[in-house]
Amino acid sequence: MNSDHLGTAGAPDAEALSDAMRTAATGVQAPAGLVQGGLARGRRMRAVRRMQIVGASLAVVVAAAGGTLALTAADGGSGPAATVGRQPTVTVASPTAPVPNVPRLSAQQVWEALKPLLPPGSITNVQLHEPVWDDNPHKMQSAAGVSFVFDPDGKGAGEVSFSIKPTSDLAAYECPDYTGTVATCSRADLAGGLLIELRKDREYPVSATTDDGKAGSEGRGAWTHAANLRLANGFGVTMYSTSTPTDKSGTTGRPAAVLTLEQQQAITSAPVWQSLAVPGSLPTRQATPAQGAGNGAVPENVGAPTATTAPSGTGWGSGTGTGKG
Amino acid sequence: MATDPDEFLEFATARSSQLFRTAWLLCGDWHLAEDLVQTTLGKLYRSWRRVRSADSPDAYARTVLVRSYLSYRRRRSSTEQPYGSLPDSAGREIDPALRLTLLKGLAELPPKDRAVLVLRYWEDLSVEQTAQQMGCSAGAVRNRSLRALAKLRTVLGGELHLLTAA
Repeated sequence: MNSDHLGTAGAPDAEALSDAMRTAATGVQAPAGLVQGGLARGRRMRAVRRMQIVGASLAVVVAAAGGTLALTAADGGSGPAATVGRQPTVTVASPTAPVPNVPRLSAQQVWEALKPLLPPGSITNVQLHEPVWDDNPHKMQSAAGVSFVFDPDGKGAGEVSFSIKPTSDLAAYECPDYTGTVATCSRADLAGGLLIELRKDREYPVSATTDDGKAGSEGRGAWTHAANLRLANGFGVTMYSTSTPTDKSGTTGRPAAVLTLEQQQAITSAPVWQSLAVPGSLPTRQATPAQGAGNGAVPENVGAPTATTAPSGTGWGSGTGTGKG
Repeated sequence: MATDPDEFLEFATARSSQLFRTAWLLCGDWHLAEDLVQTTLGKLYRSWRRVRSADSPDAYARTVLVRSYLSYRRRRSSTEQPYGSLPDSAGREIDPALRLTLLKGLAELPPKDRAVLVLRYWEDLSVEQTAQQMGCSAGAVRNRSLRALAKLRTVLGGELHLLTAA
């Protein structure tokens, strides 16, 4: 390993860690029977799912039969007295239930709301990141977001990412100790119950020398500006900008990230995010989309916000909810 | 026309070794890694039609693996942090000190922090890709990466030379 890989104090920086992982893991061989074991589990899982479907279908049939009998009795038929007046109230969440076209927050909606807030500049390589929904109702498993390459002045592009998601991780709003370093961090309470943390750091982060004398690191790579904003209702709005168009590029790029911290504070604290992030408007989730990762490339018709995609104050717009990725 | 098992077996055979190594770095335990990969393959087979039509079945598989690992760690919230569990015959000759030092450091990290490091520096994913696979924001990935690297520095202390001499 090259000593250039080491941080200021010989710390195992990212490249050293990457090398160590490869050295350690490439010697690991998968056990025999791994694939066949996985196939056997998959077959069992399919069998269980079939059983669940059959059970749910039977429950629906029983419920329907109960309702028919009740109706028959109410009409003067000869049905058992015990069924008179019984309501078919079986509510089984069938795995095969059709997925309703429910509205939900989409990456497209976030992008349409974000574009008018950006300063003038060149935008390329836009990637939408659709949220994944948990099985629990009202819960987003991953953020709705967008990333793109932005050049505000023709002096070099940087990467920008923006996301919005319910968050309970308050540790994300704690400033690291940057004493005596080039990095900065501030945290403030804003009007309306907003909490914001603004951070300037490097891609391979800066760390301060500890009280017990352990040397810190000056960091390396692109300059980064981060704005982490927490809304009063628990949603988190995060915006990053960097000084290079790709991560892990190995260069510093521009002398500073493409957006200032002040710009990022203004964007993340814009009222539009509070109207988008309304927990009560989240729909009950009806089916689980695919879990795979995938970035949706922006369709070519991404342009000015339209009436159908512009966020309203009450709902989640017209997201497709396909949950790709 | 290939049947589901044929297609699945072809995919699983090609990808199982890499999935196993990723699982081993995530959990640090050979037997648990085997269990995680088999669970992952089982889930992939159960939903194979959806998997094969995904943009990237590889990414899909990795996502299932990482979430299976995180789900396991949530259920097993005990202090058990196995590391260094590897049969003698499991691999070719690798410096055991390096392996133990690496796993010792990773074992001290919270599961999500560990997953971030494995995805970024073993799978070589970008911040955005890591965020997608873990189901969190890019900001959370950057924050976790920062914390995890700092913790690793603290944990490894005098044993750093074993890692950096790899």
